[in-house]
Amino acid sequence: MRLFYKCILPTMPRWYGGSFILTPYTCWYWELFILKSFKKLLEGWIKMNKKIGLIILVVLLAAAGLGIYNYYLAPEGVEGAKIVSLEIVIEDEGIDEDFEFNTDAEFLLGLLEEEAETLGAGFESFDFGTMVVELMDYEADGNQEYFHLMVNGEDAERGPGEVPLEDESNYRFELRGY
Amino acid sequence: MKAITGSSSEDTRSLDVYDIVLVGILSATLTAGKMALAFVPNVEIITLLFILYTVSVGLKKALLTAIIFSTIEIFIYGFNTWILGYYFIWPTLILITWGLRKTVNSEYGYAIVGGLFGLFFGMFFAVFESIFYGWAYGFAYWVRGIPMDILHGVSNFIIILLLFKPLSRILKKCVRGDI
Repeated sequence: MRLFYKCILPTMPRWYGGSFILTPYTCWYWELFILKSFKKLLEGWIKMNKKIGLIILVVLLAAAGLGIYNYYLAPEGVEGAKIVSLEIVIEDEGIDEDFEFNTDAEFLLGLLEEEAETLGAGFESFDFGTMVVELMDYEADGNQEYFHLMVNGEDAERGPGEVPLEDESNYRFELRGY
Repeated sequence: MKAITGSSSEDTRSLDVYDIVLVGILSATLTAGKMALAFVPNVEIITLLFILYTVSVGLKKALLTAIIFSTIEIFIYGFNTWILGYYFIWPTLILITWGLRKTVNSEYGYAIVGGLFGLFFGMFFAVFESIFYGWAYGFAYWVRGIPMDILHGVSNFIIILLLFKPLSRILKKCVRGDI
């Protein structure tokens, strides 16, 4: 309140002789006040615009990065009919089953989902993709075992959702401990 | 209220009750922050908070906070190899931030640090996972996660760019003892 009476009130237009009068001091004070407020607003706006511009730029760069990833690094599926063999080994349970499928699925996960009933398969979705947690109706204990995937005798470098199905290839799931 | 102090001289003295409580509260904010955003894959405020805490409360308390935060993760999610990675990756971020605190003096610099940290997060974990499961697995793990790393880097950059300054202002008020 003291600020209002001492600093702001003296600068207000005064009622004098039936009308408001503006002293030079009043005009100077309010002009300065308005200019300063406007400048502050403008500076804030420019700063925020700079940040928004930068964010848009980074998002565009990320989109370009994702495009490059999808073009060069993401696995590609093979369209059309394929004959593939699938092997499931769960040593402790004495399970060693071989299957042969004629499929149009592009990725291994597609085939597993198609044949889920035959394979007694179960899946669990995570942020990083879908994991096979059950085969031949045996559910792996996630804390100590998992289904290890091999493609044509070599360790798979990706999960079933990203392993492309290729004609006459062999896919082997083996229950292993961590 | 006693002021939060983050100067180098303060950092060398032993912890008192106030510091212990502070470290506990900061760890709790990290866990709460992580859980609040857990439903959005690879979008988190942990990187922002660690950078902020390192700059505001100092190296020692920030490192203790990281250790407690990582240990709480074990209680919540159980013991996994990625939890072991947490014991290294968050202190690494803290040490990087501490090393850069004199050269970086705006939210833009910290946003770049956070963005790059998010971008290389998967690579660090891939190296760590390779120790347990082999290089082939580690490489596959990294390549498979590149899109998620890009998302992590971009979200870190945006979050730090927008939130570092206002949060830093509040913490500075705490440093001065205004709050």
